[in-house]
Amino acid sequence: MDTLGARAVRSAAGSARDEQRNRRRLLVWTLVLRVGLVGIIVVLLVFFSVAAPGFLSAQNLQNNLRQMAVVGILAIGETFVIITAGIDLSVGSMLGLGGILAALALSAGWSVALVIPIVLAAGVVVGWINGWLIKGGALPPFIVTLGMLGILRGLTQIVGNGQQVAFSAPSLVAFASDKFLGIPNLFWVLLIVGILAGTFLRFTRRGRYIYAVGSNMEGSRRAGINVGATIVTVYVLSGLLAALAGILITARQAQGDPNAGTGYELDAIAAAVLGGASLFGARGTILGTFLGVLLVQIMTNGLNLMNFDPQVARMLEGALLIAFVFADQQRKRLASST
Amino acid sequence: MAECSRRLFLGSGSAVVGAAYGAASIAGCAPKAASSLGRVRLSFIVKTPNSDYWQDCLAGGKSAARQFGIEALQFTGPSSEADITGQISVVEDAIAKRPDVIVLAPTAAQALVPTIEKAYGSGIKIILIDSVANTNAYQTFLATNNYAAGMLAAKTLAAAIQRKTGEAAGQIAYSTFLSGVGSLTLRDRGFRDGVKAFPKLSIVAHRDAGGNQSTIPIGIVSDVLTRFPALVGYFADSLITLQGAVTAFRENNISKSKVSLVGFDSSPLLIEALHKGSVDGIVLQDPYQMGYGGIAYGILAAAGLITPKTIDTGSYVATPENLDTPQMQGLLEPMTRRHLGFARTG
Repeated sequence: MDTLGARAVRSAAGSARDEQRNRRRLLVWTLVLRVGLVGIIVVLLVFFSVAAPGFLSAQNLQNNLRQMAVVGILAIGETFVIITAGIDLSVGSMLGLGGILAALALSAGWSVALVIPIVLAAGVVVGWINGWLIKGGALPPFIVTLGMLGILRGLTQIVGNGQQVAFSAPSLVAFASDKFLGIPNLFWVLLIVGILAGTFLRFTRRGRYIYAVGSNMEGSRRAGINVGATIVTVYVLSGLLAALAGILITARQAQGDPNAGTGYELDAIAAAVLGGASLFGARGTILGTFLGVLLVQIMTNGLNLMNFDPQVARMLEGALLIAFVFADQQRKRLASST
Repeated sequence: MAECSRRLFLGSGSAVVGAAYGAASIAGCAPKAASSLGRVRLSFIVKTPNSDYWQDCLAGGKSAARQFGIEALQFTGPSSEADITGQISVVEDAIAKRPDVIVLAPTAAQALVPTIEKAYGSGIKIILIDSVANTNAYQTFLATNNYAAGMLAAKTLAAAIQRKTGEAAGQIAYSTFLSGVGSLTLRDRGFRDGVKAFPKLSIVAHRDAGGNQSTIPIGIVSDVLTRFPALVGYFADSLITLQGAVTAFRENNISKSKVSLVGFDSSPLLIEALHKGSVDGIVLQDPYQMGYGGIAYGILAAAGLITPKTIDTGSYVATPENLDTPQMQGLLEPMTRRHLGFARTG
């Protein structure tokens, strides 16, 4: 007959086995996530080098670096916001507005040195309004920035009169297609922005506050962190970088396009999430986001070279996004049960 | 009869259009038509107002509305050329206002059919412009003969390749803005059939920008240039894809003496590219004329006249050589025609 004691011993042994199995699973999922992004990039690089004609040519590598710059810069701004458990849906429209303002000012004969700071300032103002409404008005970031998405795109169409805006600024246009040390200038801009952003986020007190606010807003407040200022900061950075991306896209296309950046907010969010940022806040790195953008770019380019329909890359991007978040959830569930 | 219709239009301020459309007024000109002109209520719907091409078309329509003194209820369209359901809503809203005429550039050949048929069935005169819809429920269709224009593009590309390499031979590729758009489908078919006249030219790649308006049209051309380094020619079937190709050619340092580029539609950037010779030819349509003629035929239809089923508004090739002729200038910058107040140049 079973005694109470024997039953307790058996169940203790069982839960120890369960725990061991959970630990093993946790290790697997952590490895999948750790290695996953870089691993997929490496596998794709090797695969496309063999299967996609011209993939390894210098020109193609440069094209990849150039093409990832604009979305990369947007995604870095988005990463700041996502770490605070916020979201900025207005970056694509801000890119469009920044781009059209730059083109209009240049077509009116303003100098490049004047136009760049003015457009960046516009991005700061928009970001500040977003941040102020979210922190001061206690409005949900999704709603505020969704509203801003519409406002800015409408404004872009109105100031640009719904048309492409031509301008003459040979130095700016040349900058966007030229290279320095064999690397496209646009990528240098992304690299500099990334290093600055990464340093700020990782090594400064204000940068660490961003994680703290995303992890526990109320706790941060009690610990004496100025939560409001932190939130305004991330939206200002996001607006600023979107305006910068707008200037770059206008330089690259050699004209202002009122439709530029439509839908880019989703590409930026997807890249940040692929790179490990969590929409629930407190998680995300600039390096991860950079790798997320790189992954999407390589996949799009390689499949193009292999004569696939460009839409195939979009589908794969979507599938990967879901797979990564699934892996992340598995890891989290196991982490909390052990 | 021409004299008769001429008087009809002179009364509303345009001798040019009276002459141009004289042939259309086969049912004669009842005095009733002339006096009811100002009361024609009309909606004018394009694929999107957000492009130079459609701005030119709207300019033509607005210019006609002003000259004829008619009441245009709206000049509008959805915010994107890829937004099919958006356009359906815009048309349904327009029907609700019970206009006499709807001038419409359908975004998709099939999707707009039920809406068009509903409007037509309720007695609204339908004038289609620019792109086909798979229905007979319309009075007049004014558009570029896109099949012929595509063939013209093929011929232009072959001539440019011939000039640069000494022979119309080698690999060529093309990109389309969005699959399933009536005008582009015909244009691409015309291009492919046109290329068949040059047996040594082979089409090695075809890319679809999926309706993306900013950087994808650049990327797909870059990738084709990488994949096929021996390419001798490229064709882009619309404004956006041509601008993407121009940027891709510049970024990839493609020599304009080796690879030819031919496309469709004008913008300030493309005119400059044509000047510099980085584009070898642009097939121009006449969107201003589609807009202007759309309204003119709408008025004729509203007056009860039988109007022709199809009108070709023409296609023309601008090259670096003929760029400065008055005809090309009028087509390249239709806005100047609006200021001059006449409908057609050259």
